[in-house]
Amino acid sequence: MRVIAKLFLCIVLVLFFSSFGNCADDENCLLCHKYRTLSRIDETGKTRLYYVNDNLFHSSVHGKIKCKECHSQITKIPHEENTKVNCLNECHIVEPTSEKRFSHKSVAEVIKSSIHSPENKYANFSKADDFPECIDCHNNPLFKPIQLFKNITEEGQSPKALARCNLCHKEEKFIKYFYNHVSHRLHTSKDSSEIVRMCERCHSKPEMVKRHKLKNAVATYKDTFHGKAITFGLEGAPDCVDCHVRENESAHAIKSYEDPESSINKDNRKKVCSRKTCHPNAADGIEDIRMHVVIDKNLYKPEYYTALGFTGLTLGAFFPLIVVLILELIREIFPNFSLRKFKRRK
Amino acid sequence: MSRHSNGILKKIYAIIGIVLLVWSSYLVYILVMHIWHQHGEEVENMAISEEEKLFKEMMKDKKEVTYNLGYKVIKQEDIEKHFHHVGDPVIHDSINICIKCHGDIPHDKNKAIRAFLNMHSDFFACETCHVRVDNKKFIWYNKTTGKEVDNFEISVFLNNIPQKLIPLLEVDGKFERLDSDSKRNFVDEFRKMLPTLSPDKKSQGLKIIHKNVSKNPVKCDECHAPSLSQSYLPLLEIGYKERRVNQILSNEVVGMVEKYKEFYIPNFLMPGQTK
Repeated sequence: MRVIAKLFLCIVLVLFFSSFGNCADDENCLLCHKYRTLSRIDETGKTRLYYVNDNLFHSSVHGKIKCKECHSQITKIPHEENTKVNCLNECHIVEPTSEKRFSHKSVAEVIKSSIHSPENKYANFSKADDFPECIDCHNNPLFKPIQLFKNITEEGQSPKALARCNLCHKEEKFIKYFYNHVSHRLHTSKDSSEIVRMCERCHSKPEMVKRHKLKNAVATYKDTFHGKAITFGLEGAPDCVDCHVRENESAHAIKSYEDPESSINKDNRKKVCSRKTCHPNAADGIEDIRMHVVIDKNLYKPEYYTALGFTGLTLGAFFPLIVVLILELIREIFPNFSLRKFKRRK
Repeated sequence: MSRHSNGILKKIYAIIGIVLLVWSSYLVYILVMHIWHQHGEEVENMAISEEEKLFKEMMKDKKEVTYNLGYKVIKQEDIEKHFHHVGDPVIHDSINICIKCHGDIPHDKNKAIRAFLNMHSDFFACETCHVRVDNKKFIWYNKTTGKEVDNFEISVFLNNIPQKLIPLLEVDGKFERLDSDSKRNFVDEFRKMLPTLSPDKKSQGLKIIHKNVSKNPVKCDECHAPSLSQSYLPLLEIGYKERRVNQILSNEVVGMVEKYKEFYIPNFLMPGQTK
């Protein structure tokens, strides 16, 4: 009888403590996947890396998701071939308002109405393979928590706020996760250069640009003042999403410029430029400024000759002036240096 | 202030001025000249085959990406369509002779276990498994300097470490490294001369370089054996702590190795059992 009681106690204790643990890897996938060089070269010659950085995974928005919930096609060891993650899977997390299991299905619905869907009537090419899947734009988003206190906004978790949470909630892991989750969403979690890099993956591929009858949108954007600001590391500089997505809408709902609902449709452009955070006092006509200009004589004559003029000025006046100034300063450093004397001495 | 110190100050200002002028020219160059981006390269890229594109892509340097999370900055390799973050870059082995030709993801033949074998090449030199030694003596060397690492103790799993294990070969009662200076020089010279060597000389050279390579490399279950005495590697002697040895020889690891062994036995070895 005593043995049974002890066994029962043990089972209760194990169940009790296991419910608090971080169960993201209770299948022990990290037994193999924790190794940095678990990799191979695939049949197309690309490196396939199977490593999962445990530390970074737990600092990500998916940190509480078990491997099997995304990699649901993997059922045995050795794993099946060609398994693919379906981001629309339902996971164990319960969405608190609907009390249903969480899934990204609603995102897929929004994408269906966007220009990133082959079904969109404004798409110039409708082969499904050419349209982005989640993995084309997203890697695992890392938590970027912020803290707000009086007039100060800083990165990281607020010890003051955590102390307040601690009053009612006792599980520290839960508190920190919840804090990260909420504060991560309070601001733009991807900086401008990340967004440009993300769009660039497809929009700078020449074959893709040709098939979809587009311009190299990212390269031409980088020519603009906005693009240059990103090049020089200005964090808040306007990126693709800022202009191409309607205010307060998800980036997944991005529309073609021909779509009347698009933020950059001719009729809506001024509204975008004159947002409170951009050019609130913009005059009429700002919407006519061409943003994605290819410097091509046949396409955009005025822009081409302006660019040519400025390039001529830079090469013909600015750079020679710089050379003269540098020579002048070199003379200051070596006031008595003479090339003739130097040659004679040799 | 003396005339002499005034002169030095002037020169310092002049140097600073030069640096600022060069820097500002660089900024102007980026601002103005970028508009003439290369349509030529885009057109050229479109005309080449997928294979050529892959080759071109491979020849480019690896891209690095930075994530500024505010409280920490993560720099890592930018891998296209890779969901999980990888963090610190791989510490590559610049010492091992084999890697100079075979690279550090060399295993490809055995579909089921190739990724596992490549994983082991992070902390074992190729020679550890591919050269069987009778009198077993191993050393750890630094992947960057090649120097022997003394008193290396392993209590947790080895991941992206700066050391690698290599066996020593007994020659005339003395133990010497398989990547000795003479062998390294021979390999370097051979690689340099390769385009000019005649085909028979190439074959001779390869034979000499690979003379110690065993036809039957050490298999997974020879190290992940049921007991320490059955393990090919003297795990305790090479620095593994007892706790880690127990993990390496645990049912979990050994059992998994068994599963992979069953998985890759070709069907022709089991007549009548084909699906």
